[in-house]
Amino acid sequence: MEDREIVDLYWARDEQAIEETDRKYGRQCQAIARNILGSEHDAEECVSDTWMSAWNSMPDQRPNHLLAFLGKIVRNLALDRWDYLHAKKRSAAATTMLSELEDCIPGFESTERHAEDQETAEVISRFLRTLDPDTRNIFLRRYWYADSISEIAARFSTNESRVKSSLFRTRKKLRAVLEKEGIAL
Amino acid sequence: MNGRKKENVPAGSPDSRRDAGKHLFRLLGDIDASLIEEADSARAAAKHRVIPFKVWIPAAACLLLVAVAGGIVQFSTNVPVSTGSTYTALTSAAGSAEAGSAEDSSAALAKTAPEDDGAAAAEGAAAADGGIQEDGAVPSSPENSTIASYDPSTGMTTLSPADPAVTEDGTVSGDSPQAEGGVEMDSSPSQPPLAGVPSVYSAAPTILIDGISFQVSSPDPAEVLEESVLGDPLTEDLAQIQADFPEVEEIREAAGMNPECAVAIRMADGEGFQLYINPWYSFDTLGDLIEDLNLRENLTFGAVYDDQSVYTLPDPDAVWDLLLSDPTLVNMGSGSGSEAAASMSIDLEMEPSDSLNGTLAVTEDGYLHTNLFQTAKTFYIGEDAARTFFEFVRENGVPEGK
Repeated sequence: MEDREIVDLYWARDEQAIEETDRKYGRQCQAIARNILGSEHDAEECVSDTWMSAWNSMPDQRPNHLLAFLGKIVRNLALDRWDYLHAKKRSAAATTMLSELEDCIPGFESTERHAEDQETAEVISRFLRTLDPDTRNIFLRRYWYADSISEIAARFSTNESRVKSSLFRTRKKLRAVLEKEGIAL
Repeated sequence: MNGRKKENVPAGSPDSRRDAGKHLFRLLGDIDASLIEEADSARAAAKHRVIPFKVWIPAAACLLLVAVAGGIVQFSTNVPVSTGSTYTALTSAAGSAEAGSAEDSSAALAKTAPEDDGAAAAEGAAAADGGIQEDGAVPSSPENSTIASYDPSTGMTTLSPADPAVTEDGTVSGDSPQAEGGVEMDSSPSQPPLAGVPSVYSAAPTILIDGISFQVSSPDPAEVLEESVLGDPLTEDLAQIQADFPEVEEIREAAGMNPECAVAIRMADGEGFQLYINPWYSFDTLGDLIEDLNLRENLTFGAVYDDQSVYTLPDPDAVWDLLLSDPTLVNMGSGSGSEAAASMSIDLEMEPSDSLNGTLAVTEDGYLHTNLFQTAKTFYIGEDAARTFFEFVRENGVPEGK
């Protein structure tokens, strides 16, 4: 079923929307949540919460790209749960991945913060489009989909060292871009 | 989240950085949806895909079986089939199947260097050919770590590190696959043994990190890194590393370099952090070399030599602009490309350790050779770029003694 048709089901308050969503994107959302939380059980709960959040969001929202829409929800919910579990030292699954992202943080404390997160996201999008496809997708598989290094290496038919090197270089470049744009996080 | 930091969290503190990292993670949720969808189905681009062993071994085995069967049929039927040509064709096909990962290397080399038949007479980098003595030796530059020798019969000069721990072609002894040149996309995390490592290095500490052998870059245990070049702690796998190497106390990033090629390690009985390098690390492109070694911050250019003079460059940025501006240049490895003698060579000085110093040689036919980071690398920049650099140095460089 096309995304547009699934969204129409949400708008019609037809509960089949959840079924179709799970059929089409359940695997990806489950994988994202599991990669962050490290637990199948926690991931299932997170995905259930995601479907609930999607149900409550549509209407009013009518996303054009359902995967991106759902992925954003599940990532945020998973990170919230990770924060909770991490405080209790019960989950370290995403610790390394999140610590890697600290490399991208500009090294200054800007007195004029970038106004909107959406604009920052656009800067990041523009930066990602300057990369060659493999480099871009390796970055997104790691920091959007939260895949492990070994999973990424297998997906791109290379070895883990090359994946790590690719991520290292991209993080450095992203940091330079954010610094140039005066974006503080 | 709106980007405002918590008031009671000091900027730059670990908590602050962690919060910023998580904020960035959330921000990535708002990037262009089309990028996300592309990544959902992403696999390696065809040109980067290597044929895994589990595919080409059976394929090669099948082709071999067919070849053998063809030979048996001919023998039994006495049909005058040209077994030789058939066998050749079949084994060529098998060879092509298993060389699928190498065609990328060949293509890359063919695209980047004209008429490169890889038949360089001597391995390693060409070096300055000035001041050639009667015995063919060329005096080493006073501040670098290499010796250049000139072979009149071939017209080739060869950089040989003065440090006996490194072999003539610039690699750490025990050639790595990467030193063979071309794009290497299938290097295994496991490494060949460091065969033939000279005694001074065979006794040097080697630490295995995530399947990669890191070797101390300097045999002098008193040579420790300055605090200013130490980066973030590397804690992933530390427990496992310490289980195998109990003497390891701490591992940190070093001078902004890619941890896949260099790290700082402090041993229990050490005086501080020492630099450990992965001598097998392969730099596919000039951009990789620049980024992975953080050359923009770590590299200083020294004197420039030609066959007549030694120059000081008033503006070192000229080297970046004239020789190192194209990050896409493919690393052709050692023994590649140039059939001309080097016209100029430049001393390279590296933070954080002199053990990483080297030389950059430029040939008339447009090749850059360097032994920076203890391995030989070659890039093709073209004759015009080389000539422009020579002219710039001779017009703007300050000859020594003036």
